[in-house]
Parts: sequence; structure tokens; C-alpha cells
Amino acid sequence: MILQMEARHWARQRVAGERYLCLLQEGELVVVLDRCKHRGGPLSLGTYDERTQCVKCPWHDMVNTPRNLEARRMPSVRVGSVMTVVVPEPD
Amino acid sequence: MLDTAALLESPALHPLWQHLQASGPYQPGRGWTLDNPYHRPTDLSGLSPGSLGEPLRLETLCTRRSLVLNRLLFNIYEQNNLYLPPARFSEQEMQAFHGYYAPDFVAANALLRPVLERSCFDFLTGTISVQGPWSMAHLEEYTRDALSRFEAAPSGLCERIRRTAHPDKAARLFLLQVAPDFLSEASQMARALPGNYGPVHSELMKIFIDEFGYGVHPQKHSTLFEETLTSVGLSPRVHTHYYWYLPTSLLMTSYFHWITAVKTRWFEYVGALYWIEAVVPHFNRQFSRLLHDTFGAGVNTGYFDEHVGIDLHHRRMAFDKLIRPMVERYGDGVIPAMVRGIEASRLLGDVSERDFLEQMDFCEALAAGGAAPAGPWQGMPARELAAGTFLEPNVYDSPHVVGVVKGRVEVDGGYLSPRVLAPGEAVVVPAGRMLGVRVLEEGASLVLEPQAREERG
Repeated sequence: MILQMEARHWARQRVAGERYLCLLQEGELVVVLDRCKHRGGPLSLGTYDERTQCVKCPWHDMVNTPRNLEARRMPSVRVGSVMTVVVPEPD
Repeated sequence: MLDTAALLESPALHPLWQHLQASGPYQPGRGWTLDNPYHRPTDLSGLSPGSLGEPLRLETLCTRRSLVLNRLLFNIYEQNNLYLPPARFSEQEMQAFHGYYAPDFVAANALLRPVLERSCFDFLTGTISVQGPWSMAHLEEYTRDALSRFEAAPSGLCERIRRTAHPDKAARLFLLQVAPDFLSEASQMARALPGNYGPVHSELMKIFIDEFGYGVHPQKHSTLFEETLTSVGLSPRVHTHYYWYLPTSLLMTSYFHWITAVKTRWFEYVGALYWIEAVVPHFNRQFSRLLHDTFGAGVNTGYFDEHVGIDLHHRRMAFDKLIRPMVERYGDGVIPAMVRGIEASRLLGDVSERDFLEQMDFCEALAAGGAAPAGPWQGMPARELAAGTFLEPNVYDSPHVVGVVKGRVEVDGGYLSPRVLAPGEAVVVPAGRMLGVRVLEEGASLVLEPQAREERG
């Protein structure tokens, strides 16, 4: 399904039971599944390191690197301040 | 890597720039219409080679600088298009023909092209960003959603034209804005044809054949458009109404020249082509109805009706015969460029629609005797102008007062029915809008000054 959200660092959007997070990676806004690589904790409640562009999960302090985050990226297109994301249909 | 923008600034190339500034095709016209398609008034006097590289932004697309850059880039691309007069060349036409297509003039212009492309299209790079792992299934879902949203709403542009006091003039103004593209329809696609790039090459050719009417001249889409123009009282001569092309109308047309001229943008072109073919039937159906309701039985809507039918095929062909096989052959990595093309053509369509509607509103105000200055203007500096003096249609970056102290002057914003201003009468051109002025009487005295800002209490 198609999701539209604000194109802004740390903008969050929930669809049914799934959460999506918009964040900066290498100067571009991308959208990732808002789940830690470890146990699926909410990255959007974690902390973002501007220098390394890593996100630390609030559950177990697990660091999600840009490479980890890339594996969770969703197909998206930003036009100005609007982000359009193709996400799986909710169950 | 060679940077032609830096090269242009070198003293050795100053003669090239001076040659372009003084070139015959770019000199101003003397009236509202142009006599031949080789005359492309483009005021380069306020520009220098070093200033060409400053990119336009979304907020500066409707400015005088944008108009000049877009006229220039459009004219450069159009040197690839052949235009011939409808009958034997007049001496003046022959001279202009050789002037516009002169190899040295073409070469000088070509040197400007890369920097102009960056200036005109750089904002697309910053405005549109495609990220993430796109697959064919994602692209299908995304295009299905975008198209169904587009088709769910009636055309706001058609509705706005219907609500004006002069829908005939507004519809003509719209036809003028699509003329830079439709009068040479599919010339950009023709740019994409030379070469040898596999089965999709032949599939594109099938679409192109339709555009060119299968070699039957009355069926050629540009011919159909000429007939529409004629039927509503507009000249079908190529670019005779050049002066009224708004900067964003030129930008939209040039975008398709750009993505077909720069071969590395091929996948972007295919996405943009798909989107244009996809949205045309819904819009054209409504615009055709609007033309019938406005002009009655005499209007020829063949151009718009043809596209309602054929573009249903073209959008399917663009997706199933161009996009799908190319993704199969080259992988999902080419999809983001296609998405970029779709979004760029959507964005440019929205931008040019807004520009048109704002110009239409200004023309409506002019036609209704409105657009008057809010405060006194008679004390502003005036200048005497000879009868026949023509101030070319230009975009004004800030609100300007055009007032007549003595004599009579006509002003137009593109409705092709100039309003005559008598002594004591004035209009205000809003920021970003286009206006042209012609002096009707000898010794007329005219105010053309920025509107004084209102004092804050």
C-alpha cells in the first residue's frame, strides 16, 4: 500500500501494527522499518548519532549502523516536503 | 573533466557571448506576434556568462531571469527541429532561416546548453529524491495509486477556466501554453530514436508512429493541434505567439528535450513518458468538453479527442512494452530513475498549471478593468515614448505600476486583446506575472515603476 508522511528527520508513521521512521542517511531522507535489528525495538524512541548516523535502540542499547538501516529501508520518493512510501499491506 | 561553464567565463570566449547577445534571432520583436519561427527574442543584455550558472529554484521559476534562461534553452533545443514556412520563402524569412540554423550560431548556443540545463533543472535534483529497494511490484503499486488519485478528481484547471468571465480567452491562453510542445509534438521522442538499444527501441517506435500519424499528414498530432488553434481563432504558425509562453511552459517542454538529449537520462525519460501518456486521457476528455461548451460546434477538438483514445494504449505500451522489459533486462536498479521521471513530470505539470492559473487571473483582472494600483502613482517618474514603441512581454519580479500620463498605451497579459489605457489610467502587474506594452500615440508619457511599498503604521 501507499503511505504518505512528512519528509522530515525523525518523522514517524504507524500503519496498522507496523511503524515507519524517516531519517537522514548520507544527506538524504530515507524511510526505514521502525524496528531494531535485535529484538524489533522502536528505533524512533532511541537515539540518533549525527556523526555516525547510527541509531541506538532504547531496549538493549543495540546500535543499528547505516548498513543495518539500509537493510530495513522502504522504497520511497520524496517530493519537496512529502514522502511517499510503498509499504506492505497490513495483515 | 571539462567544465563548459568555467570555459565560458574565459576572456577568449567573450566574443562568443557578445555574438549571441547581438545575434539576429535573439533581437526584440516589434509587435505582439512574430513573423517567423526563426525569430526568438531573448534578452541577454542583463546576463553574463558567469551568471548563467546560478540555479533556478522552485520559488524563482516565475521571474524575469527564469524567462530568459528558459527562452534561451528552449531555443537551443529547437535548433534541432526543422521549421519551414507554409509557402515560398520571403527574402526576410530566408535570411532569418539561415540566421537561426547557422552552424556557428548553433555551435555557440550548444556550448551554453550544459550550464543552462544545470541552472534550469537543478531544482529537480534537490526537490525529488528516490530511495530504498524498489521492485517492479512496488512500481506497479505506486503508479496504480498515483494514477487512481489523479483520475479521482476533476481537472481543477478546466473548472477554473469555466468559472472565468472570459472562458474563451482563458482557454486560448492555455492553448498558447501547450503550443511550445504540441506544435512540434513528439520531437523530443524523435530525439530518443537514433541508436540501437534492443527490442524496446522498436516498441518506442510504435508509439512514435502514432504521434506522427502513420505518415498521413492530417493525422499527425501536430497537424491536429494546428487545426484546433485555427478553429478557435489562433494562428497555427509555429511560435507566432512565442511571446506569451510562460517560463514554466517552456521549462516543461524543455524537460523532455533534456531527458532525451542527455542519453544517460533514458530511464528517467521512460518514466516521464509513461506518466504523461497516463494522465492525458483524463485531462483531454475534460478539456475537449470545455472547448465544445465554450466555442460551440465550430471548434475542432480532434487533437484532444485523439489522445483520449490513443493514450490509453500508449500508457499501457509505455508500461508493459518499455518499462517492464527494461526492468527485466537491466534489473531493479533502473527503477528509481523511472520514478524520478514520473515525479519530475508530475511536479513540472503542477508548477506550470499554477503559473498558467495565476497569469489567467491577472488577464481576467486586466480584462475586467481591474488590476488598479492601490495608491497614487502620478508622482512617479514618467518617460516619453514614441508611437509604436513595444515593450516586450516580460515577467516582473516585483509589483510594477504601468500608468499613462499622456497619450494612449495598450497592455496585454496574453489574452490577445490588449486593454487600452488613457491618461490617468494605470494597472499593477503582480510579482511573477507577464505583461507587454505598446505605445499607440506619438509623445505618450508612461510610468513603469515598482509599486511603492505600503508604509506600515
